[in-house]
Formats: sequence, structure tokens, C-alpha cells
Amino acid sequence: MAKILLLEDSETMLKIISSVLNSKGHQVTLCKTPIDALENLQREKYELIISDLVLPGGTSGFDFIKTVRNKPTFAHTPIMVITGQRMEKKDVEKAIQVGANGFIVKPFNPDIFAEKVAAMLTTSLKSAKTVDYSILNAVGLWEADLKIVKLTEQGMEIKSQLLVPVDTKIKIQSACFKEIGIEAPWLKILACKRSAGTEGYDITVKFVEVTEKELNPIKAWIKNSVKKAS
Amino acid sequence: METLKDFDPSMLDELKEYKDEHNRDLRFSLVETYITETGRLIDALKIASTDKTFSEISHSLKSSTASMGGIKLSNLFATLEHGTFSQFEKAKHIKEVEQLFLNLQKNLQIYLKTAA
Repeated sequence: MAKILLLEDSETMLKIISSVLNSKGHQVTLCKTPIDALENLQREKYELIISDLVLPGGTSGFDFIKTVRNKPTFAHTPIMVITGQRMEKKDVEKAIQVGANGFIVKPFNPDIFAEKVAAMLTTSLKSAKTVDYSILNAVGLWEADLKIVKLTEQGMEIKSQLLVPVDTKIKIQSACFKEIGIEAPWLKILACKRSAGTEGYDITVKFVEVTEKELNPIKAWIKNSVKKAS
Repeated sequence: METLKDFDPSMLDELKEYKDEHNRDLRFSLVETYITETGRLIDALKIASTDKTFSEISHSLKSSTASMGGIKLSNLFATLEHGTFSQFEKAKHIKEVEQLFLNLQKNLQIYLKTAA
């Protein structure tokens, strides 16, 4: 998956974060000091940098981010800041100002952390700087009417009034997932074509980043539905 | 006023699906890492020569302790991270840290026995 540089001085936190990232197939370089991190950044290209905001040896995470952003090679590499619970609004603003793109507050749920990393990896920083306001808990929703017409272990067939570009990643809120007992999973659009004879589009999506824990209830739900129907 | 719980294992429960580098339940090696690291950092806290070092060490311990479910101890580290203390106050707080760390170690051992 992705190459990620992790800067964190606590061995315990390094172990938690790297285990979560490794479980998602990411290749993680662990650094305990900003010097170590900068040396690694000069040697290799990373798709994401994750850094603590309070670092040992008199350096702050702000200084580290500023240094990284001043180097043209890393100017567009997304940076996620991990920080403690008492982070203040002014710290958030300062981190944004110096170039951070996302935040997560420790201690965190490992699955939510993995989702945020996945979301940041899909964000392109080439056009503009983006900020993940997770700390402010701001959520954006785009509403569109659609019908799920088929569910398989790999994904779904959907009828939609809107055209959705192929390869786009989306989430759908549906009672179907509540019934299965899982959170709405990430979906990738594989195909989107005009419905024959009717208005709208036929969309094929596949599940992405679905863990075995989430896939098992989907399989069980399909099996039960097939039993009921026969 | 409600008193803080010493130990909340829910954070560790969330890690039960994860494996360490040897493909074993992450929680076991994590507790080991935490206890070794925290013991070393509490010793460093005792000899921290500046308020800044004292605050940095407390910050590091605050997050890792919270991830292990040590609510009361993590809150104490948060207080130490943000406050300014006399030598006498520091010594008093470190004594409390040591006692809470001992309690947390006991709770973690009991937790791992039930998780095994």
C-alpha cells in the first residue's frame, strides 16, 4: 500500500500506530527524533508523514512540519499530526498555518485512525492545501437518492440518479448496513453507465479496506437472505 | 464529585484484533513495552533538570498511559505536563505516580490473564 514515515518519541505509541498501519499493508518507517525523520525523508519518498506535536530535545512538531514544508521535494506530502487531548484551538490553527493537513487526538480508536490514514492517502495535495478538521468534528454529507439492488461479498449494484466517476471512493448510508451490523464501508466505483430504458445510472461498486471482522457479518447476512428466499 | 476510575480496559480491547511483529496478540508485547518504557521515563522524570524536560516526559507518558487504560495516572501526567511545581511538589507527585503505576501494572497483569 503506502510508504509512511512516523515520528513519535513514545515506544508504546510507536508500537500501537505501526501495528495498525502494518495490518493495513502499509510500509512504516519509525523515527523517534526529528533529525532521524529528516534523514529518512532525504533518502526516500513517502506518501504520508505522521508526526507527534510535542517532541523531545527542544523541537516542536511545528518546527518539524515547517522544515518539511520548506523543502520543495516534500511540499505536497500530506502530514497528519497526532496529539494529546488538551490540544487547544490556537495549536490547531498554528499547525494548519505551518502545513499540517489532518489531526488525530490520542488515545484513538485504531479502526478510526486507519480510516483517517486511508482518507488522507487518497487526498491530492497538488491543487490546494486541505485540512482535516477531525478535532472540530465537522462532517460533510452529500445526499443523493439511490437504490441498492444487489449485494455480494465483493460489493454492490446500485441504481443512482447521479453519475459518479469511475475510481471515486464513496460511503453510502443505508439501513442495510445497520441490519448487517457494520459501519458503512468505503466503496470504490468500478463502473457507471446509463440505465437501459430508464433515467439514471447503473453503478457497480466494490468494498475497499473491509476487514475480515466486517466481511464475516456481510457473508452471514447474504447466506441468511439466500436461505430465507429459497 | 465523581472520582476517576483507575483503569479502563476498553482502549486495550480495541486492539485485540491486532498483531505484533511476531504475529502474536499485540496487547501482550504492548504491555511489556509500556511497563519497561514507563519505568525508565519515571526515573528520568525524577532527575529532570528543567521544567521543559519534566513537561515533555509527562506528555509522552500521558498518551501512552491513556492508551493502556490508566485513566487516573494519565490525568496526573496531564497535570504535570501543564503545571509548574516546586521541588517539594514534584517529589510528592512522583510518589503518587509511582503508586498509580504500580496499581496499573497489577491491573494490566490481571487483564492479560483474562485475555489469554
